[in-house]
Amino acid sequence: MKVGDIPSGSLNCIGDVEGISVGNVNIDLDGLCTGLTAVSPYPLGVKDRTCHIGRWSLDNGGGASGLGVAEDFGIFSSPIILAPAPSFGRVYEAMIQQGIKRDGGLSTSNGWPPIIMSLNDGVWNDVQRVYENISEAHVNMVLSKSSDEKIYQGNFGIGRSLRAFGFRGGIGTASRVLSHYTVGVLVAINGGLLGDLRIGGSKIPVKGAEYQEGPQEFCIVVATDAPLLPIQLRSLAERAGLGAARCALWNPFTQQAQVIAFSTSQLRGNGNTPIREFGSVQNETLLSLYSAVVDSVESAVLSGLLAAQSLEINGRKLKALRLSEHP
Amino acid sequence: MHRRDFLAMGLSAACAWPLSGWPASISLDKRCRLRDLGLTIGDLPTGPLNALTDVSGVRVGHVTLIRGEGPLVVGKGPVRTGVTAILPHGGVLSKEGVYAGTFVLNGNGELTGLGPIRSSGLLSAPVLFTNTSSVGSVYDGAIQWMLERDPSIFEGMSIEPVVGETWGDFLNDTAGRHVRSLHGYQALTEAKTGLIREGCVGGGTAMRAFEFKAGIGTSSRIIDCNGVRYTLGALVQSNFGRRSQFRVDGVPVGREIPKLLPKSGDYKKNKSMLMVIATDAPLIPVQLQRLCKRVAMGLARTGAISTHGSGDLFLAFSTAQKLGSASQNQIEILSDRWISHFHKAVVESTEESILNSLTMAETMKGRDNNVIHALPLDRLVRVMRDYGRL
Repeated sequence: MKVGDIPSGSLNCIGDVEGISVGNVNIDLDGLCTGLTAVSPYPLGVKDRTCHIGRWSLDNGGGASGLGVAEDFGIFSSPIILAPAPSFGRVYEAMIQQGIKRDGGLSTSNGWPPIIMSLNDGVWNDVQRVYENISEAHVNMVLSKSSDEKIYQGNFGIGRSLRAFGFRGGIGTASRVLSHYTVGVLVAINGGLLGDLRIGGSKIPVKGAEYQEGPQEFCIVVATDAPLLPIQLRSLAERAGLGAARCALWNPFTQQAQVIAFSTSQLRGNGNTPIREFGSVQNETLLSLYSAVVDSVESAVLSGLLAAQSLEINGRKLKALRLSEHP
Repeated sequence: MHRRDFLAMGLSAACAWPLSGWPASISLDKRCRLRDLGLTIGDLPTGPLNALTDVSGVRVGHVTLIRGEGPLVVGKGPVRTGVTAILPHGGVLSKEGVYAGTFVLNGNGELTGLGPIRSSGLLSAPVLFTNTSSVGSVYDGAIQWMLERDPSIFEGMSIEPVVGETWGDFLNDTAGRHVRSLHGYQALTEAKTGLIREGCVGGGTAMRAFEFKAGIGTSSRIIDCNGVRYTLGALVQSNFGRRSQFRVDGVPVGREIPKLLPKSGDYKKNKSMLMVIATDAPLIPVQLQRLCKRVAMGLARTGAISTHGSGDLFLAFSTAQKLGSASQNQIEILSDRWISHFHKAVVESTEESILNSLTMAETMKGRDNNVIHALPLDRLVRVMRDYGRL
């Protein structure tokens, strides 16, 4: 199945954007199924590096941190953590510890403020247990793992406990390669209405889906190596919403959506001079990047859903979407 | 009297005044700029003109319409209005836009064209200030001016003139809409580098601040970034504030000069401030938006509180780079490490440009013989002396 005409990268994942790494920690305890996902813009050992960032949200998005600096300065330097909502404070705490290790002054070029995007997976999980069982060690693990993972389509990390369109959700990822630049996305696929999933613009008939209760919220991370300014990355983040709308993940009942888009392209120049140099893209290139983002998001949602596995937990069943069952 | 004339006749005298204060023998019945009174704001140095046009290439033009006296006859006058035009450079803006940012402190006003600036980060059209009822005609005149320079402005990315307004109804026949397209066009053709007239000119003709006569004011600052010098300029159209709020460099001048309130009519309704910040430093849109927010802090230093009825709309642009459609694969960005210096320059030049709009404006009589008095400079000097500032 192919979405759009733009070719995908070699692994069709966000890691096709050079320098990007993804880590997942799955937390499976008796009756508990959750996890953390990290997207790092550059290796953790790198110091004094910022990337440009832009954001778009629907209804202000779900719980998130670090977006004040991201919006006001247009920069960030933290790995991006996708975490279940009850663990937000603990994850933040662990990220601050990481930040202090990098720079005791907690500077904006060394991991401060942490960027955490949270999703409520309390429908499947016992909230109290999610709260109790996610620790600093998990955060450290997800960060240290985020260098070698290549496969993370479906029920990894935050994708363990998500639900979409009445099926098991997950994380979905995809990439698109333009003549000079690559775009990659990672979607936390959550929400969507029963029977409302669209593939190639058509609703597909579904069997085996259960009634979709719970929060209608999703989040998306967009990465590119194109040298974009924060204002252009905000436009890119806005377009990610179109991809989510194409497959109806974004629907009239979506309560919250959070999208962040960043560029790995670096300012060049001597740190002591006031002026740095930065690349620049033409308007036509920007428009191609928009298309690449929309296609990537649509592709990621479908790939993530198809990679998900059926799950039985706490006496409840959550089926995975299988196209063969839906001719 | 215009600043140009004042400079011609009075500059040598001004330079001879001791920094410690204003000699009692000097006549203060002529209008002058704040610094000509021996008063300074902040500690950054100003550019040579202490004006928006210290930023190389920036052009400003005014068209001032003052006609008639006596009772208001809608459509006939009296007329107290005009247009002030600001151009980032002398080239074709639609082909060579500049990075820009905006900030709306209080939204009860109009500044057209903010959509394209917010989406692309580019200012690709002229900026014009006028009175409330004239936005449409000034926009129209600007479109004509733009089409003559680039017939393709409606073909590509959205490009809109940036036209702002403030309410000058106490002196002017607002409903008569005396500013026509031609005047918007003319303000653009008049736009020049160099000295800027201040006070009761252009869009600021009928305006008032702190219940004194005000209008257009300007100021600038020089910023030294490790030996690299940048200029930042401000230009304001002031039309806000109550007397008791008015402060000059922290001194409660308004409370010390409670009289000389506007004469006759309902003068309570006034509002709004339009501000343009320009710099030659290579700032990108997100940085220019941060600069715009600091305009509010300069405004606050003069005592204003940005009332519910106010349209406090700010725009900042950088002339450092012209972003054309021609292929360009590199831009420059000022390191954020230096941006606080620019914040300071914005706050200082905002406060000083507002004060210049007051010290340069003359007493004006308008419709229905309504009068707005000028800030009496002798009283200002006395108050500042009493507070140990002179």
